[in-house]
Amino acid sequence: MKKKNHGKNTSGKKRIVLFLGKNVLHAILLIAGVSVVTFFLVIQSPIDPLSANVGQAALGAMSEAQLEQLKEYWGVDTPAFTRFLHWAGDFLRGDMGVSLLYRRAVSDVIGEKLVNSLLLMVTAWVTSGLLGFVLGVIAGANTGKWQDKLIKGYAVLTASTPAYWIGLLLLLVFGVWLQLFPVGLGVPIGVASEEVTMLKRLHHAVLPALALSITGASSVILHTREKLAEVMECDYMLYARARGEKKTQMIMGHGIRNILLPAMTLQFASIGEIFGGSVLIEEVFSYPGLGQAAVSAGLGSDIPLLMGITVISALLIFAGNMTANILYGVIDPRIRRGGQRL
Amino acid sequence: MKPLLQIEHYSISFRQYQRGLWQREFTAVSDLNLKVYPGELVAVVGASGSGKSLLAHGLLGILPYNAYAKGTLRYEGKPLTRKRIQALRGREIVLIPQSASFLDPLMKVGRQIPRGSRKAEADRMRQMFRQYRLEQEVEEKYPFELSGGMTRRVLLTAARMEEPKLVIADEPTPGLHKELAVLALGHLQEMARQGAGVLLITHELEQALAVADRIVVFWDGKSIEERSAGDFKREENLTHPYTRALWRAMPRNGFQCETETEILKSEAETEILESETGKKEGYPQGSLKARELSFSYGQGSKNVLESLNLTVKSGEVVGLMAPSGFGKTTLCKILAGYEKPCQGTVLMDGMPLLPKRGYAPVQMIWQHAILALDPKMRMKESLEEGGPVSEEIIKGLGIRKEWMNRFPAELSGGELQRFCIARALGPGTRFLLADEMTAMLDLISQCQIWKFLLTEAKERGIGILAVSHDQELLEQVCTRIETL
Amino acid sequence: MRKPSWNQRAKTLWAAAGILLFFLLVVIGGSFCAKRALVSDFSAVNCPPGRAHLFGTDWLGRDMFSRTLRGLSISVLLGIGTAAASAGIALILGILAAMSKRLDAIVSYLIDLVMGIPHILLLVLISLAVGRGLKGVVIGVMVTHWPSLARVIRGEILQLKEQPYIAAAKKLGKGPWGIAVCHMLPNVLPQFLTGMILLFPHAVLHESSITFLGFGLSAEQPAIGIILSESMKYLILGNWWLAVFPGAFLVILVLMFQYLGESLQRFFDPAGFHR
Repeated sequence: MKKKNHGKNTSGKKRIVLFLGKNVLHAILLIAGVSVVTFFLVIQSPIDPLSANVGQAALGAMSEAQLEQLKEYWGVDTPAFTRFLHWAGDFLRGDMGVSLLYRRAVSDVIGEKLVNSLLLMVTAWVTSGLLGFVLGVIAGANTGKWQDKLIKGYAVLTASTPAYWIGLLLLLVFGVWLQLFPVGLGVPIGVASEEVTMLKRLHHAVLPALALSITGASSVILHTREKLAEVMECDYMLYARARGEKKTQMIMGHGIRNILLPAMTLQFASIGEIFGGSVLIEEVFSYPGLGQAAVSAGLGSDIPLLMGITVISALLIFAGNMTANILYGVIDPRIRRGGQRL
Repeated sequence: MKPLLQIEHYSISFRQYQRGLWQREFTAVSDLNLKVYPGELVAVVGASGSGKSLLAHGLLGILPYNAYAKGTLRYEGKPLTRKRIQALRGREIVLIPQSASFLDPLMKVGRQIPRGSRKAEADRMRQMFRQYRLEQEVEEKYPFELSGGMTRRVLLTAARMEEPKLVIADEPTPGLHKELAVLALGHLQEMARQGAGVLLITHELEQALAVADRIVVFWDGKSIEERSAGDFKREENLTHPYTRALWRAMPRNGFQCETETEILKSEAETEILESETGKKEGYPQGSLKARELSFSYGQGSKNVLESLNLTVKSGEVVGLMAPSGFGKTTLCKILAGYEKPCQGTVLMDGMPLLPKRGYAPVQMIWQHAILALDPKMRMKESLEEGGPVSEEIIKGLGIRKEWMNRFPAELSGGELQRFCIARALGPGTRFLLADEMTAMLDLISQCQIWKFLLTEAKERGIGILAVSHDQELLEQVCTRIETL
Repeated sequence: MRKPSWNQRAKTLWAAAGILLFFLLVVIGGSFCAKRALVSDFSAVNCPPGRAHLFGTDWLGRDMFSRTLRGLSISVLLGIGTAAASAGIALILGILAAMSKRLDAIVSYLIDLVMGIPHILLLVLISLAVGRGLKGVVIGVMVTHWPSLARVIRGEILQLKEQPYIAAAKKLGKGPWGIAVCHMLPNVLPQFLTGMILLFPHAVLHESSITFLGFGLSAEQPAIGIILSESMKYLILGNWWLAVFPGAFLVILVLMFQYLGESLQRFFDPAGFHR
């Protein structure tokens, strides 16, 4: 098993290509699955899109021809499977349909909202990752001491707290009482969006990003702490100690080296959770992002938009998972250089 | 001359969690006395699993959080306090650990062996590498890429990055085949010759005798006897009964063991001798045959076994010699039906051995008994998994009543192995495969277990395949030895 | 030699008993408050917390203490039900996955699929598909929370299957049923129980989240999600008690269950648990 593969770089490269190919294929299969499941869930809905969007009264006043036209527009009478094929075909050509609520191309709506959301999500993802890792290392290096208890307490507490409630509290403290930050909306009301400066935009994003970071850090903290505590008990740490290394030396030299990869993997795999959190947080702060759009699409049975958002978010998640997988395959020498299976 | 290291009334105990939040206190070392002089190699020899590693860790002040030590340690005449050992370890007092798992798996060898990043350190390492005939390439390797012998030499290099005065080697040879083990111990001997004090901690008495100046016998947490290696030539030089028993249990000294089981056994043996011809008809004659067996893990990987042929007849004890990594365990697993061969067949009495439900006629004894026992089951339940076990077998293997209600984690490897053997000796057993059955055990357990097994097998006509890397042992127990 | 630390064992048991008692009180109290939680009293609108109304009143003069208690009891009942159902799904799928390679591929695909859609979004989709309301929440939470536990159970069984002691038991004549009962069950059961209890916090949090967004329980029900979503409009007026108390008690509830689960974990595997 431990036989080396030296001088066989070509086979190594081949392996990596094979590995990447497998991952991509897997992701494609899953995206296909996600769109099928989403589509049929949405179709299944007993809520009539016509009455939900046009309104019962308006429907009654329409002529037969108009109604037909509308029905065709909403695709009520076509069999589900044909509609899915239509949708999938269009999607592959880059056309995600027209949003019923915004009356614009879904891709435009998503593009605009995604930029807003990404500002939140990336900030939260990076801060929660860095903060979580540092706090996790401090806790793991001092298991049982007060630092550990404090940090673990924080992590457990935030993990048990609904993200939107933290948002509400932040809103209450900083928005209502201290009035440091605005109480909602990505841009001030009544101002044309072109006039909004970057600074204002950021000002509006601070609280939501903070709320998202606070809750996002807990899993990284707990994971890093556990991992480092585990690594500290390993044979090689014992030996490092026997060789006269100091605790900080051990943690900086061996500890972080051995826990960084799993922590990064976890962080890449947690994109789904950050996204879920952003849906709630955007709702609390009336922040015009993808999450809020998803909620209104859901409430208004805007099928094309909901489909689009689900598939895009699934793509984000798979991209994250794949990056995590590839990180492991490419960085860890035991996999990169050894004959071990990926 | 003043002793370099002096250990007096040293003891180590630790707390361990049991099921359901019970805590338990174990004493691993209870009264240890020992001196090491400069230029001397002292071996502490004791049964495996008796807390010898904790001794090494205790000396270096790196005991786990749940362990604590008592007694006095003196280094160069002065007490070895916590503060002092922190300053000395890695410089004057060094540890040579057991295996590659003590190296950081994600760090290249050339980066982690020097204690700092100065050039002088790297130069010293290269110089040592040359001395141990390690190529420059090794610097660029990760620990998992090293072979067993290379790892040994890398760890020796690490120990010699500065001029150590005291070297503590903790079981430096398990899993190494004889040649490598001799080589590794030779390096230790050399370090002693150069003036360092060396403390070798091991369970292999034979190996210790080959290199050590003095032997300290460690039993039940205490140092019971301290003798020069020369004293072990004759039994009369030894005083403690355990040491004497140990001496007699060495394969080259006749492989005898003296307990109530031994007495039982010798009686049984004479009986068999008397009625040998008559008994032979009593059990079914047959054979376990491996025909052209090949095996590999997954497609594309190298064959572990290649067209192997082997026959074990009823009542015969066949020894199988091979260094580690030659698929001995795999062969046993195939013969016992745990794995399917890629090619070839296993025949019993001329018929293919098919996996069937119920008690299998071919039983296997695993090297690590602890893995073959469900950690959540009491010993009594594990013992009777294959049906009730006769009182004679239980007595014959020296299984004590009080062990029955314990869990596997509460018994030693030797004690557990007795249970594994007992349950594999059901009435349906025709062939027994012993895969390094006693490699992890101390000499006395090894001797007792084999003695019983041999008589039992003879009586019932069970064919045994004994796999081991220990030639002396195989010569003692086998009727025929095959080499892979 | 044996030094049982009764102290810690007793402490854990008492804490667990206390938590269970608390849940019982919440459920019983909640059912008593069911009516009071809906009664409006326009003579006492927007009262801050005080002697008459412990947690204050809302803009319709409804007593927030009763509403919170009722909401918590709904959360506990829903949480226990959905967590148990989800754990059941996890157990079945985990066992199936461990049975054959093909089933394993199918279950793995299902796990990846469910984990590939953000939880909240999937809950929204399911809730839409079954027409919102209680049914939406229950089904949604049930079918979205099993993957992690199913993975654990699958892994545990696969690992057990590789254990020499199981292989040895087979050769000693134990049938598949005997192996399942004697060897598998005692090893999987603790994982299953702790996994089930640790599912509860997630179930409760997601239930309240989805309700908060407007896809869960209907607005007439005083569920915590509804209470908090209604409070949003009144926060700007400074009615902090509308959000703080219900949310804080939800957090306490979840923390208690988390503690219960971790105690159980420590109980089953004391050595493997970092303190």
